[in-house]
Amino acid sequence: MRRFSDFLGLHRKLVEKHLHSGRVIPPAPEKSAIGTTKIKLGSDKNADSGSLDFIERRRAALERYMNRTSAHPTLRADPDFREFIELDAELPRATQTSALSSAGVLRLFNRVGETVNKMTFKMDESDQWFEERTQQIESLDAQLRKLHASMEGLVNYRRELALSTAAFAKATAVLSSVEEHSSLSRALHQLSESTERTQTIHHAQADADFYVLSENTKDYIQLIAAVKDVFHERVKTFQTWQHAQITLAKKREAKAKAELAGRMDKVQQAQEEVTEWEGKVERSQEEFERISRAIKKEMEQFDVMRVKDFRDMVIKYLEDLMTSQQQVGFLCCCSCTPVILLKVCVVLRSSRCGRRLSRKPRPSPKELPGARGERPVYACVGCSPSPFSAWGEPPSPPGPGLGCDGAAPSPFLRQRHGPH
Amino acid sequence: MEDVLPSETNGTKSGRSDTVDLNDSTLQVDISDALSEREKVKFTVHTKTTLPDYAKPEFSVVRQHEEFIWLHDRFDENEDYAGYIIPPPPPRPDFDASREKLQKLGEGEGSMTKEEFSKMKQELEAEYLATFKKTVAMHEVFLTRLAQHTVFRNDHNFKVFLEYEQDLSVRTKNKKEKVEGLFKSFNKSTDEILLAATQKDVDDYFEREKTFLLEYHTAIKDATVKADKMTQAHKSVADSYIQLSSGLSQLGTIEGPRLEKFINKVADTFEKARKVEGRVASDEDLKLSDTLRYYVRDGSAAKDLLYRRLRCLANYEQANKNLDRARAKNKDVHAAELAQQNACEKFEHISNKAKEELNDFKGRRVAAFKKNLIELAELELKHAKAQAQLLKSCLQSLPEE
Repeated sequence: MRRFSDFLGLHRKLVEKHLHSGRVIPPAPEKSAIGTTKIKLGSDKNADSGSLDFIERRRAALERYMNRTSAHPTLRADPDFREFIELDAELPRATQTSALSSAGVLRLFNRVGETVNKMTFKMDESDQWFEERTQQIESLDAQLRKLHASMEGLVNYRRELALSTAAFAKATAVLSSVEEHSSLSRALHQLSESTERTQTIHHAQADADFYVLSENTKDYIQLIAAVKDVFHERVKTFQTWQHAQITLAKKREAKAKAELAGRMDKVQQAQEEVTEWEGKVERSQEEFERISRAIKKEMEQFDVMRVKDFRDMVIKYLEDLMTSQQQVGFLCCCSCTPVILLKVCVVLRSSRCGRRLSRKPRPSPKELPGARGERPVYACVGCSPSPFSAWGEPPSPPGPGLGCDGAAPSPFLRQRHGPH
Repeated sequence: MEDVLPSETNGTKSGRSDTVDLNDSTLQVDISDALSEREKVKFTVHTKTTLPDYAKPEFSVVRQHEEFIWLHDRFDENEDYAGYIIPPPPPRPDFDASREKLQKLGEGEGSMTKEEFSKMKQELEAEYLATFKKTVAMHEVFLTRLAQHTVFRNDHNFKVFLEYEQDLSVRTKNKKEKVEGLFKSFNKSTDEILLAATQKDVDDYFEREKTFLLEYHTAIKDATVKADKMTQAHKSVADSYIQLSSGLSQLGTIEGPRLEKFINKVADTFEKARKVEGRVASDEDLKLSDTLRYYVRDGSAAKDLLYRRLRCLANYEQANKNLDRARAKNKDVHAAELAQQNACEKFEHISNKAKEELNDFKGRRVAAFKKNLIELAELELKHAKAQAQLLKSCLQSLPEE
């Protein structure tokens, strides 16, 4: 059992120990204050899908973090890491990880200072390799950020698609219940059901978009940031070295001055200082060279990992995409086409009578007298001068016999009109 | 009194008895060409006919959208056609949306790479073309339905529309007319509500049809909106593939040789998938949304028909009452009788016709849904298969490198 802050604590420990020796430490997932607050607020109510979503997201992120850390040959052997995964009891609570604690505030200050430092200090690069790499990392960072943005866009659109598909499925269901033609209604019902299922597929795909593609890319951006940190660490070592060299030069100057002035006591002191700083320069130079070597090695490893990771990610994603497309195809194939085909054929057969009706020629007057009794009950038989007038026959001339001579009772005609 | 009647009755029945059994080839209308000129679209209406009324068996005229609307209004206002479902008028050609998008794209040119920009532009142009085609198709459907209808095809205005070589010089409604039209439609809808509430229908068939159509209209309208949204979302998904693909290919150039080939292949696949996805969206639009949309309009035309019938019924009952009153007072009895008789005829006529028309409407609807749903299912299947195949071949080729 580990808390989320334990993970952060582990990350901090690893950073403290290994960053200065030029190792790329996989970044821990970010703390999201909003998400946590939501969970805390919503915990006593029902566990809605939002919080489940959040937990799943965090779980996946932590899992990826652990896998990355354990894949690193040095970090894997770190005692803190081993303790983290092996110790059965609860870890001592990591106090410094909370964003609001004093340590957090201190860290914030440090970070601000470093950023300023990064911006102001421009190291003139002596190593071609580092120059190229730094540039590549920078552009990679920018490009990945852009890519991540478009992936987020894709995820959002896909989610929207799933939602609107669901809405459409519901609307179609309503339509099918209203539709009076039983077979067409059934066909629409089928359409509604298959859209419903398509919606599930879209949803799954959106999740895949998110967890496989988008989140991994986000991890990459963070990893790149870690690489940048390492590079910065090297720059810092370089700075110390430079600083030591400058101080050494000053001390030497001071010593020379003292010698010229002939004050031997000061010369003695200066000599000591010079020796001290000489040692420092040597050490920091060594340190710088060491870190440069380490970074080179580390980067090679990182590159191999990255290429493999990226490749796996894309392949996994494409596979997911393929599966969902196959599902859609299968769905269309097995539930839509034959059913609709079959049913609508039946529908068409039964509805053909409606079509024929409109095409039928109007009855000629000779045929009609017998049809009198078939006229709808509500028609006013007695009052029309000619029962055929409705069919477009010229009306019979009005005569004295006009009026209600037929006895056909009509619910519509409230009274009869006798001849005036 | 005596001489009023014939003219009146003749007025309501002119030219309706001469219809004979006609098969479909007597009058064939299609839009052979269309030209988009800035604000207006010019349709070339091509007619082939065997009807003796027409001077030539085959001819073409150029018409604009306003003239289509004019034709529809002539049908709508003609009382002779009160018993028919008037085919719904084609919607106004609307290219503003695509134009606006194109303009937005132009503004955002700086923030995109050249490739991305040209792809987006291509996409928009395709969209524009699709809208254009759709507009033409809808205008054609309107004319085809008129031409196939046994009564409408003999209409004089229709003939003029098809035959008259020059511009019909219909003007769009001016402000006053527009206000009047608005007022009229407002009056009509209040009347409709009033009638629906007060007028008891004597025929169960129509009562049923009315409730059905009302419900159906709401349901199908809702479905149309949802379908549109779905299509739109699908389109957005397809569009976001463009960004993904171009983002990936840029990443490839940065990444260096180890991943470049791989990434380029994936980017290529996304590009292809985008095309398929886009096609899915446009097919959904064409087969599903458009069918639904057409029947929203056709349904409301049928609703109008029912309203006209109900209005007739109300008039008829009013005429009956008037006759009673006249009898009681023994004044103007004859006139009242005539009026009552006219109303009765009218109502009967409209009821008969409406029944036929509603049946026809049902048949038409079912057939259209059948055709389009099957096509939709087949197309979706085809696209899904194509995309699955595309991804599969991509996956197969990937690990080899």
